Amino acid sequence: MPKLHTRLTALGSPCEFQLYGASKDQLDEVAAACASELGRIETKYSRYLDDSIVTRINQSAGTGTFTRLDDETKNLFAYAQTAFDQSDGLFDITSGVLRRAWDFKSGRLPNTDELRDLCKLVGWKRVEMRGEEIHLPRPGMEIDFGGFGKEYAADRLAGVCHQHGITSGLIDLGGDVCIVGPHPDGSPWLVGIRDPRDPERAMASLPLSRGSLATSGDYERFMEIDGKRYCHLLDPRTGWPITGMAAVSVVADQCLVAGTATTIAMLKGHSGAHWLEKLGLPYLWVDGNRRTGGSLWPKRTPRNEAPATQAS
Amino acid sequence: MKIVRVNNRKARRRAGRGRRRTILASLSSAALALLGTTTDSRADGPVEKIEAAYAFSFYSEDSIKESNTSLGDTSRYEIETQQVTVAGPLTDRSDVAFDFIYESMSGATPWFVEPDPSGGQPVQAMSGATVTEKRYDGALRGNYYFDNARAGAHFGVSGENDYLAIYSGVNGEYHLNEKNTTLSGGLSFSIDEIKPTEGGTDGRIKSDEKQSVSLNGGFSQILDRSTTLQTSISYKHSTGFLSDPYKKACIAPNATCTDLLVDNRPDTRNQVAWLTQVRKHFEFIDASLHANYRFHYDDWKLTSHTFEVEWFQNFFDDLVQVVPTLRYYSQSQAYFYEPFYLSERSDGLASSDYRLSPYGSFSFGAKVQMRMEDWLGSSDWRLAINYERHLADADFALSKAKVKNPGLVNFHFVYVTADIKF
Repeated sequence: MPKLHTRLTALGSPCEFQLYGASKDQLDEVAAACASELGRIETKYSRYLDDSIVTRINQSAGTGTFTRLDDETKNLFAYAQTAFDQSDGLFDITSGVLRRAWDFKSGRLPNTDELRDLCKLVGWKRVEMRGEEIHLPRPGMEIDFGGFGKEYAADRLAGVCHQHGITSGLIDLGGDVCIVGPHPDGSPWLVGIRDPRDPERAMASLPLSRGSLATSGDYERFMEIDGKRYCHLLDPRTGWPITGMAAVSVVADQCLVAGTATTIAMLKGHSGAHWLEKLGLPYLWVDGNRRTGGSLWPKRTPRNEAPATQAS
Repeated sequence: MKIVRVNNRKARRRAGRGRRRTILASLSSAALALLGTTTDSRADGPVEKIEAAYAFSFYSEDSIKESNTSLGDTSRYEIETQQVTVAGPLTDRSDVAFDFIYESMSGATPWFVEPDPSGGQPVQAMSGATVTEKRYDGALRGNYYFDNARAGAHFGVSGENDYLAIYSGVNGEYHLNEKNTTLSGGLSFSIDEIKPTEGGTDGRIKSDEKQSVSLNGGFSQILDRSTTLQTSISYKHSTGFLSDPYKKACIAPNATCTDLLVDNRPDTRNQVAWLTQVRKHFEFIDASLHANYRFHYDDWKLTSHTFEVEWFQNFFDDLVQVVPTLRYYSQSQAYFYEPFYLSERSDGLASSDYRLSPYGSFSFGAKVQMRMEDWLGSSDWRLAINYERHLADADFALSKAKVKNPGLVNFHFVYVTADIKF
């Protein structure tokens, strides 16, 4: 069966598509449709592009001008609202401004005054919604969909594949993996999960025939100062990097849900494991002390490092 | 700077859907709402999976009271219906479905009405109990979905030992105003051939035909997030043999039946119906109210009103739905209807059919529906059971009837369905 295997960089991450199709023509068509959908999402929601809706909303911050939302963007905000509610305010799409204080390449901690001022610009609760319009009340406030944009794109691309009749394949957007369908012979994909302290090595690989796997970790961008790790995941209440969890992976039907769950669990820090248990999705975590847990690890392993062998 | 007061809490509640649900259910439903938004804004799509449904229904009329009958069997009609539907996608813009119905019917039916020899109310003469009759119906339906519209067509055949009907039609929907408004319309026709058993004897026709054409147009408007208003109007023109070959009418000048006429109705009928529905969703208790009103008028001078309320109560994240229903119906009589006639009408028309008599009815019942997702081999199941009780009486009519038709019927109706999506 013809197979397409492409690697590219999109949404700021390395991406990989592996798709099986009935013919090369079908695969070319799907590849083009996926590329155009990725391009559409990037153009519409990038905070770096001047004419994206995110930029327009951010540029109107504090001006009193409301920005009108189309259906898709309205639903993205509704999703952000749900994630905010369900994380008790930890998952906050206005927390991106905190990045201005943190330069992980500098090896220096931020100025605490600057961080305190930036914290005043964080707060999804303050964002004004009026029917189908939105406004950020303070100059300098920003929203961005970085917290779930990749996962959203992965789900949408899987949808594009299904629309084109593809029933076998995998979409990996920077480590967030959406299964289009098992291999043509029905066998599952083996999806590796990075070891947070040795990211080039897989600490487990999960057989997945459907659904999605998302991973969030403290190894993506970080600096170490005096042996302490400061990672890019910032607590919206304090502006400081979260501590406790090193990496969390979750399996869910939608990549969006899996990704949001991993982010919330990371933000919950030491209580993340308990939150994941309550959530009820298959999961796996590694904390800063290399302790591991979660339903995706086998209950008893003859050797502690044995990888998980089952997933839903 | 202008100060804008914004009702954040309300907008947020609308977006967030409350905290009663589990975290997972909340995130999943928000994700589905988001992923369900089509960027190419196509109307509704074709069915995505192969779906199969099986339905069984049992309709049972109460026996007619001994005191209301003069002749024949008192046990009335029973109908058992089995229906199988298979639907599936054809292309990424079209779908197709096939329905097959098998019905078996048995019991006695009203034959004619005569004055009670003791001088009381009119009484019903029933037919003898019929042997079980069978009806088969097969229909093919298809839809094509455009970006903002749907076009559909259907064709079907229905047959009994004394009846054959061929029917077909087209229908469509057009969405506009960001899908807040939907216009719909349809055109259908049917050709029926009637060959009554024992035709040609006792004044009964040997065979005849009727045709009908129906036209309808509708308008649906989403008024706000939780309210939808729908209204539609339909017109039906029937022509040909519109009588009932198995019924007769009595001539009884002196409170005694002296002659029996064959049921004879006009050979055309023009019917107009207007239906209005309001649906209101109550988010805080996860329930919807549907209120329907239907007005019907035809050139047999029969006017009817139907008022119906249905309450859709969802439980356990919509996995279980309970729908209690209450319906009131009232009709006036057809102009040529009489329970029995003192003398023959000059136009030769005659019918004592209780369905053309003045009466009202109450129906009440409930449906319980359960969904099971990702069950048995990752299929989605839906099971529903529906029970309805129907009580009819001339005294229930909006305007009081002079004489009760003794054939008015009360019935039980049970409907069980199972749907599977693979």
